[in-house]
Amino acid sequence: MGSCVFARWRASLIFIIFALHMQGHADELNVVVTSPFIDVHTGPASEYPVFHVVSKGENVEILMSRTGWYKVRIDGRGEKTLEGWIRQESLLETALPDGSGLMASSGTFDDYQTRDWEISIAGGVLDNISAMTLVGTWVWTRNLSVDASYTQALGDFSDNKIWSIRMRHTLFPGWKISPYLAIGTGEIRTQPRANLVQSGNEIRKSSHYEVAAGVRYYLTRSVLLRAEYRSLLALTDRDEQERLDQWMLGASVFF
Amino acid sequence: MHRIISAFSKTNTLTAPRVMVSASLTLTALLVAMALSLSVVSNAQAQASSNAQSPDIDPNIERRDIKEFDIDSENIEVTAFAGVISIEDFESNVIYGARIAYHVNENLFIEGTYGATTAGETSFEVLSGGAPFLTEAQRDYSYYDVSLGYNFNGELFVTDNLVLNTDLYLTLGAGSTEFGGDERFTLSAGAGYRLLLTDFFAVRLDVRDHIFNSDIIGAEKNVQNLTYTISTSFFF
Repeated sequence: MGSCVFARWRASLIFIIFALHMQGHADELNVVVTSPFIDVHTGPASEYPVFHVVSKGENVEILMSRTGWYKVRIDGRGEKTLEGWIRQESLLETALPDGSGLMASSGTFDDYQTRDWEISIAGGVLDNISAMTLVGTWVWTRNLSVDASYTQALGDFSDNKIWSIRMRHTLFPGWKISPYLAIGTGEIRTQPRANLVQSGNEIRKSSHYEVAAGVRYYLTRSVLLRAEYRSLLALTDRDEQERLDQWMLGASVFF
Repeated sequence: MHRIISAFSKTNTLTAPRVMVSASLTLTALLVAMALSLSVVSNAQAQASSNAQSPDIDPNIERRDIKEFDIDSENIEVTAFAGVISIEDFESNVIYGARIAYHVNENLFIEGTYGATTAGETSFEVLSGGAPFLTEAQRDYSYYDVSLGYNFNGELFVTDNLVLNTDLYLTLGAGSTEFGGDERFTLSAGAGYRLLLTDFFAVRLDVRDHIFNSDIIGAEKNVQNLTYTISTSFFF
């Protein structure tokens, strides 16, 4: 039964992948080399050997990209064509047939300024138990962004799941290292461990408000590091409200 | 996924220096005008100031002509896997799951994994012929984790003319395992081999160890659940 459902699910997954793959395929881009030469590697990494060199004035057809590399098709000896990979930086050494220069977004700090989305993962502690957090971010303005986050904290006595929506303000968006502040709201679900018989198996839900302060740092191509502290105020059914503190350290990628 | 390449016309980049030249000329003219106005009689001053009437900034800046090209960028890898998981104390079972990875650069990738199976019986349960530790529902075993992977890029020479790109990679991550009615914080570490049959289709072999703290059969201990999987993956 389970495997049957899974097989159907996998079939639809493969279909989705193919659909995504076939969707509106990219423009063809033919460029001319303007520097003395460009190295062509056998694979999309600097470790792959250089097997060909395209020299000034030769044509290069750009096919696709992977991380910081572009797959190109070039004329080989005689009628043959060769396919290989060139560095992103090599694009700056090419031009369109009409002489226009090329630029590509590559996750540089300038591209960071015009990003739309971020995905972050973080690990840390929530009131002394280990916690993992996943955050999806929509970047609204240079300073403001909206986070949707999900945290799971698994302790010896309970399993806590926290989701929240919050508004984040990056104080100095133009700096590589910048502090940020956030406020938000969401829900905390707490389930006692199955082996704690007397506590029953009921899930406790409570809304919460949170405030957070953190620092983000532009590390390298497309990657940010972040460190954050957040304080959660759970609005419980009991007489007292409960305060939780979370520290986390994580990384983000941006698009 | 697509990546934008923009092209800009080079001739227009000459516009900026020209604006600067005309600005500095204007500045010189202004200084001359000021010097003259201090020393020379009023009609000469009027003549000099009329020379300085050229606009400070030329408002007719040429538009930078930018064209954008959509280039297919394949940094996301979606994987479906099947394999065997050896659940400590609870036999080995077939496991299915899926992974999704984002390749940050040529070496680093971030990958999320979900897998599910059903655990078997402990040897005690088999030998005693009764007294099950867990209910059927509690035997459902599933886990997720988020891992950081590091690729060691390589090539596999199948024949003289057929060469396939490969990655040998190490992964380290954390996540959660749901088993015995509980979820447990789980560390996962492993290694794998990715054979790229085409630029967007690959076959992968993975070995992962999932370590968590369990008290299902009594005393609390660290359990090691080794998983061997074979998978197919697509880049898009």
